Amino acid sequence: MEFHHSPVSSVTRRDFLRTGAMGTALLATPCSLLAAVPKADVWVFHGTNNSSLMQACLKVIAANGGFGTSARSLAIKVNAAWARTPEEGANTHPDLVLGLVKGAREFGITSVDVPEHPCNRAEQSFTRSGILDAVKEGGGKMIDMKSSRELFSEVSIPKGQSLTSAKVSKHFLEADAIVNMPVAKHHRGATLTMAMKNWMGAVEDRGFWHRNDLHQCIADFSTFMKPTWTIIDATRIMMDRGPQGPAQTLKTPNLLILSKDQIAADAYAATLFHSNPRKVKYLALAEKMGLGVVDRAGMNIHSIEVPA
Amino acid sequence: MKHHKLFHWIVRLVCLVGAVVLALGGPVPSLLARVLPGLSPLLVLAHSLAGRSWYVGLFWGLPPLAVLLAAVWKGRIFCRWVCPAGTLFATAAACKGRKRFMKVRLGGVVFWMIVAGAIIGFPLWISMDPLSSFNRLTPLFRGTYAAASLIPGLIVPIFLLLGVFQPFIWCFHFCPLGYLFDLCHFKAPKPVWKRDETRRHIVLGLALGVPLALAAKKLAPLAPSGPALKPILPPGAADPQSFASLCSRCYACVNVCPTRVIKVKMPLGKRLGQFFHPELDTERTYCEEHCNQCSQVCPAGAIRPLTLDQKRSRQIGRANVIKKACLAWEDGEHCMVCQEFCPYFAIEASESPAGIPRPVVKPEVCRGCGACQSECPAVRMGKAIIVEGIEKQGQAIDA
Repeated sequence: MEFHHSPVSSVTRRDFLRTGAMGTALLATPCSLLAAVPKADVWVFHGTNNSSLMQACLKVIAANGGFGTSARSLAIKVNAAWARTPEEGANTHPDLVLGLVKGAREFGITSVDVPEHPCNRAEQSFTRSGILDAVKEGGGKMIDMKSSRELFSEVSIPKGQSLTSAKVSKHFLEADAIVNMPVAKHHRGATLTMAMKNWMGAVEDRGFWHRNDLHQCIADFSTFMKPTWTIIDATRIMMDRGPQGPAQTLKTPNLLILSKDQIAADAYAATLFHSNPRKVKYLALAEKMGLGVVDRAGMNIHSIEVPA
Repeated sequence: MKHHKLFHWIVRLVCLVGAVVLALGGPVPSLLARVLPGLSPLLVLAHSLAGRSWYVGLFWGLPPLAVLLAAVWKGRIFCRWVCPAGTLFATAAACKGRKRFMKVRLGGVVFWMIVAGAIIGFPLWISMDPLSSFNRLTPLFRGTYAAASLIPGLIVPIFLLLGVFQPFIWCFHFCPLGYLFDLCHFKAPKPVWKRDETRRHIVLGLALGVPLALAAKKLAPLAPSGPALKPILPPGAADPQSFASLCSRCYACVNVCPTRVIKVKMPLGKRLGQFFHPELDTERTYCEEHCNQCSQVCPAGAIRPLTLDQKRSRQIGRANVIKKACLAWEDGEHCMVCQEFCPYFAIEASESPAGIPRPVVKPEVCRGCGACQSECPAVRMGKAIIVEGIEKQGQAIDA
């Protein structure tokens, strides 16, 4: 029942007007631009049981092409950056990770890698977040990217403006399918962190991004890294003191956001924090670069209620 | 007789291997890093004298007490059966060197110097304790990159080499712990206090020990090169002066530190008494929020035990922003990595007119863990946020 108070299903008068205004704005843009950006499917699951949320999510994935017919290996980019507990909301919830790692077997996936270049030392962040145990239990392999420089390969990012090359975790380059599964949370450096910014945990030198226009680099990397699926954990979201927390205000929207378009997923998740996703500079840049959909009007939003 | 000798060597080798395992950690819990240096009754005696209190708990107090009682009963039995340094020197003695270039026995002098220093609160020569000396070798094998620990770690290798020419030169001519055992050996044919040289040892030890300890306490740094930063001491350390003197340089804390932030630095710009003591180097790594291991393993009481909660609020240093080097203050970048990494919310953002957040440290909240410094991405002028030690560790305020 709570679901009806969330911004997903209840179209308030204000939302209606805003959407209408956006639609008008869109109509005013040249047709060529409209054609370039097809409508993005975004599934929004609501429920209080994380395992059930992931089950429902996997069903939708199965109905929409799975991870590709020939996919045998899967690499998942979770957020396991901080030595914080699952309840604190600084990392992806371990129950979701377990659900995905286990569930991937049903799709014919034989190996699941979960590489992460954590902020805190892996021994602290992987264990306190509960993610190491979840990955192990699900039969996947968690990889500490701090452990060896050999685990990264240099790639070029031809469409990048600030970021033209980066050393990226090999696992993402070699896997048949990729899932980006971040947690949505406040971020004092980048405003918000969700899917696009989550990729900073897959590169070796984050410092370069900070020295060379962080927001542009985040947008640039999205021109290169296109996950098969993006699943944003918005079961609980830190409204302040991110990215590490613990937050003073922790909200529990109990949502899971699924899309093939990570920019659309981010834009949707951003509205849980503020009304305008373009307040997040890298989203505005991504839109300008034509990388994905930021407007609600450009998305097909499927709201799914998941019973606990 | 032959069997006895074989048994003797087996026990010694087992103790040696045990000592190496304890010091290196690995298969055993890191808390046991204090067992080997903590066996020394000399350490307990010196620190209890210097600290004017019995600092070691019952549990950790029993092993050195047992060692001491064994000495009352059988003199140097610990040296001959357990001491890993003693075993190493015994292997060197197997070379059957016959030189006698060292004739005087200084163990007594060293012992009384330690006692004299301890009485005035500065047991300077405690680092001559053989068990701490043995333990001091280990940071090298742990890859802690503490190159400076090589120098104080040389005692055992040097005496091993000398021992090839003159057997047991360390044990009988320098070792203060061995002297303590002799001193306790009441039933010896000729106890120490009946020997002629004992009075000389005491007088010489006191006469040298007191002024040297006072000098080490007061002497200015040898090479004050530039504005030297105050050292950041491990959480639980007393004031810098006492820490420097109480620390036996066993490097148990260096060994257990999971982030390897505790290092041994070259003694440039340091007072004599501060040479080679462990300190935090936060340039590349930092002191973790949920860790108190170093405070649990100090056998010397130089780092007092802290609970995880006490450690979490312990202020060991303070961060300072160097605005000229800062990506946000100087270059207008969206950075704030320091704020992102600070687990204690000690860094606030001050917004520029253009809306760029710039870091400002809240000194009363800052713990000095160095997460900000180690992760600072600035390169143009080096790190833009630098942690400096504080005169006295205290309680930080939660933000």
